[in-house]
Amino acid sequence: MIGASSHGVIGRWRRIIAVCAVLVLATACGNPLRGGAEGGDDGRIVIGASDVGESLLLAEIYAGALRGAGADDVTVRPPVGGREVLVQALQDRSLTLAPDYSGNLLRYFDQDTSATTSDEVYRELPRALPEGLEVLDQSPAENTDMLVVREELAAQGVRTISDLAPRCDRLVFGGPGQWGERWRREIRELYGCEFKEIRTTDTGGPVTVEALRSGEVQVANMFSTSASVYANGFVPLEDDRDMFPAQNIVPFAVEGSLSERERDALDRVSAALTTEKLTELNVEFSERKRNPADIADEFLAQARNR
Amino acid sequence: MSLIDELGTYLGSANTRAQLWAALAEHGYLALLPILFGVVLAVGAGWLGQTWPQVRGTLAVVANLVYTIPSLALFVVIPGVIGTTILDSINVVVALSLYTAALLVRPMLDAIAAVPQAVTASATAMGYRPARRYFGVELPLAVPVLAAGVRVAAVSNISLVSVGALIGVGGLGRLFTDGFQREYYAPIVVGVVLTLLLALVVDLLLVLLRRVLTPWQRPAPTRRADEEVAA
Amino acid sequence: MIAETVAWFGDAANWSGPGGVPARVLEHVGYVALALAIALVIAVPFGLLVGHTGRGAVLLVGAGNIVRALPTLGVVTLFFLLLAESTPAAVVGLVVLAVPPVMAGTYAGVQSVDAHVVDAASGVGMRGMQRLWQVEVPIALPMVLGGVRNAVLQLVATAAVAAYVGLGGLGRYLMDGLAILDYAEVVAGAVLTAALAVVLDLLLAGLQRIVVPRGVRLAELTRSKGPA
Repeated sequence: MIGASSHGVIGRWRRIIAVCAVLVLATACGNPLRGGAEGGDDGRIVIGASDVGESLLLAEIYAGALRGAGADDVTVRPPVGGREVLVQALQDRSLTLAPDYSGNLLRYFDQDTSATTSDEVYRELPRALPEGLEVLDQSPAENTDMLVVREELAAQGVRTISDLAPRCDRLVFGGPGQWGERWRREIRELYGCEFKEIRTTDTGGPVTVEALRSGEVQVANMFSTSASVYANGFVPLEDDRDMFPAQNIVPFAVEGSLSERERDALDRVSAALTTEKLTELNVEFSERKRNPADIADEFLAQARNR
Repeated sequence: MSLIDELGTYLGSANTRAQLWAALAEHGYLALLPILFGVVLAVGAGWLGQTWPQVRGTLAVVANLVYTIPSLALFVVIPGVIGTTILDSINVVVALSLYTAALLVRPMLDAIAAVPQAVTASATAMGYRPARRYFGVELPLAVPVLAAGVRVAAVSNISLVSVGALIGVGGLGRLFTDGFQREYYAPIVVGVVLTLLLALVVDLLLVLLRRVLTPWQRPAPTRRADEEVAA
Repeated sequence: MIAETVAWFGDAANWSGPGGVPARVLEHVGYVALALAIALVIAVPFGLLVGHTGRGAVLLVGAGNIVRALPTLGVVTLFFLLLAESTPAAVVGLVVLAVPPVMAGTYAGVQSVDAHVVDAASGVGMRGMQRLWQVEVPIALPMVLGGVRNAVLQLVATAAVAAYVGLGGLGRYLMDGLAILDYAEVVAGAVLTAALAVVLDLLLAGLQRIVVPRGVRLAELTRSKGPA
């Protein structure tokens, strides 16, 4: 009895193995991530984005431009982390390209740089970048860090970071996790401002907005093209001693990974992008909640028709 | 704008729909591939436990321990441990394979241990060597237990994949980070609904698969008719 | 990587202030305890009711299955946006995920009470409530705690994920470390989170063993020693 049924069981077991083999094959063939780890030589282009909202929008614009220039295998990866993650991913070739900001990028590789204007920063960048990475033409569009406060504080005569400095020790600051490491020393040396506490909120996103709105923090780090600064009536403080360097948008890429035609397409896109235009696109993205790929398509169509 | 309108606008974009399909496919792949690896690991653990009964306790403790590790913690540490790149989807696959195995090992060991002595003895008497006995007799008898574990693991994996969005690999999880960043309900709601649907469909498929694999467990036709009458 | 992590743990700066290990661990335990307390208040009465009366069991099990399939990140982000984007609101998302395991444990515990025992209790003249509190609840308690253990594991893990929406706790090390690829911090966060989960689980496992009523333990002892 047992013997008979166990023979049947063996036959069935073969069937199980066959089913599993088919499943393995199916998942291997249907793998939507196939080759996802490699950006570079094979003509496959993987574009990354940081967790700054507009980064994804810029990545979609680059993707559209590259497809327009004949690249047929272009992927935009979900946004993740800060510059550290993107640099690492470009260096290990998980990514081909990512939008970045000239000033912070330079400062990331050269802590002691004194370059602050757009031209100075862009001139110094190639020298500072590690082997194998390059920047393409920078765009006139800029998105700088800025410190913002609520109207009540601004109404007390705080208009610049210098105005803020004497009060810093009573104020709680909110910004991205990496802010303290990047700017704490800088703002102390330049302005004599030492915040009572530096809290991690997020990178100019909803956590930061809510923290400032609720008074949990009194000063926050946000970005000049961000639609939510004005939507919430926050007041940006003038960086009167040029602590934050120029932040022109610049495609940051693996050297030699793009064809001449693809590079031209990105250069044209960068030239067409202005700070004003980018702020408009950001409103479409973060206020009107449109799909970034749709916004990118529209922008690219307009840019072509000009 | 009401949520319905918002969903309409959101799904109205062809780009959005294309991205949703891609995210859904990626999600299914990231959740289900680990099931295969997890089953293989659990079958291996069962074999270890059957060959050396003294390691059963250790295997069970290790499995329990792995299962207590919070998902985000496991996701972020894996690239450092196995040397993959940080954005590689393999990180999520490895983490979920470990969870699946951890979930299956305990019931697997119990099921193998629960095979009646008479059955293993007859198999041995018929000339089955240990390996053939394990794969030919004990393992098939453990399939119902394994299948129950696989159902639990599949649902739990489908839920956990989303956390991968925090390390840049997350299938439908991308909708949650997007919705959060833009204070936008539509992608979050769509993401939750699609995740639940995926879990439901996969669970149904697994029930079907189990029925195919364990025909001896199907109720006899006459009895089933009785049950239907009773119901 | 290991050396860096050890150095991280050795750095005194990581042990003091609002971002230090003790503060973060306390925060994390705080979220878990708060969410669990709320979940208990909601889930235990429901579980007892369903288990005692046997009504609504299908619904309860179905709801439990659905919640198990819910993506935790989706729940956390959704509740963050729904509840005025305040950080404590993230705790509500945690509660949602903790209720089903507790409810399932409670229900299963009461269900598992031997019908003969319930009959005997009625036989000696116990009323419904009396029977519930003096017989069914004590016997069910270990299984209720089993549900609590599942809930706590879920909570420790989800509280870490909730760092994404700005919640404090150990998830901060994971998210902040990841954002700047500070692997020592990430690994430290992972080790602490996992250790917290294991410690809480062991504590509850111990408690689970202690609360088994003496009668039940004796019964099991005789059963396991008795003839097969």
